[in-house]
Amino acid sequence: MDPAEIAPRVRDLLAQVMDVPPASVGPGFSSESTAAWTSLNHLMLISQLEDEFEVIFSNQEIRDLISFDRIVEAVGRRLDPRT
Amino acid sequence: MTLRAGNRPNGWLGVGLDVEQVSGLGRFDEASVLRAGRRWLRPAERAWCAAQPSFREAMIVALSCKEAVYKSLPSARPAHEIALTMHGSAAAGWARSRAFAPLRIAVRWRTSKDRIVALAVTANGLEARRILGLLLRHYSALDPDREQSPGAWSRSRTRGLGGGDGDQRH
Repeated sequence: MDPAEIAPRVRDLLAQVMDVPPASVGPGFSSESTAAWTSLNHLMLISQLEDEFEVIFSNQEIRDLISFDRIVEAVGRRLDPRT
Repeated sequence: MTLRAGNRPNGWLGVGLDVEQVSGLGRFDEASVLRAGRRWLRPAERAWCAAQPSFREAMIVALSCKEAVYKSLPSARPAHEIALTMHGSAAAGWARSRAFAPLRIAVRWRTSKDRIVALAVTANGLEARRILGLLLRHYSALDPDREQSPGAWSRSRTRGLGGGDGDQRH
């Protein structure tokens, strides 16, 4: 799946889970910049992403997926048939 | 919020504190909540949640406990690897874990009208419960009802572990 297809779906999911306007989600959106990115919302986000893209993230990825950019990259990597 | 104590000469002592809003899962639909429950809670933890009046509120309690434990551990572990044995109700209770032996983990939580506070202590041997008891006795700041009723943790402690609801307080 092309990153251009992944990004809008990640944006919508992040907006829904963090309860923020979709327009506010994009490159640079992260746990550092968003007070709504609590530990509880992080767990909800990971389980929602796994369901949306039919992937299972590793323990390392669960810890690392703390920004829009990292999530788009990680999902793209997971869905890339070459990896 | 995180409180952590570092390494000690004779082993690890970690303290983790987590505060969550009771309504934290309110905007998620049923399927999303159940999915997260399957992903992050162990079967026994889900069974405990299912036995409570509100699965959502109980799930926040369980996840808050796991977060407190996570903060108390010497190395990062994901929520689904933190196996807790839960006792009491969503209003107040305690949990233990030996998932990371020889470390032992003791957790207490209390729920006020809108907040859940979970406190975890991880230590070697039998120290975890003793240190947790000391913390709860001396730090009323950990009480979510502090403004209305200072020392509720201590009162809860004197009526025994396992909680019950606020109406049972002395």
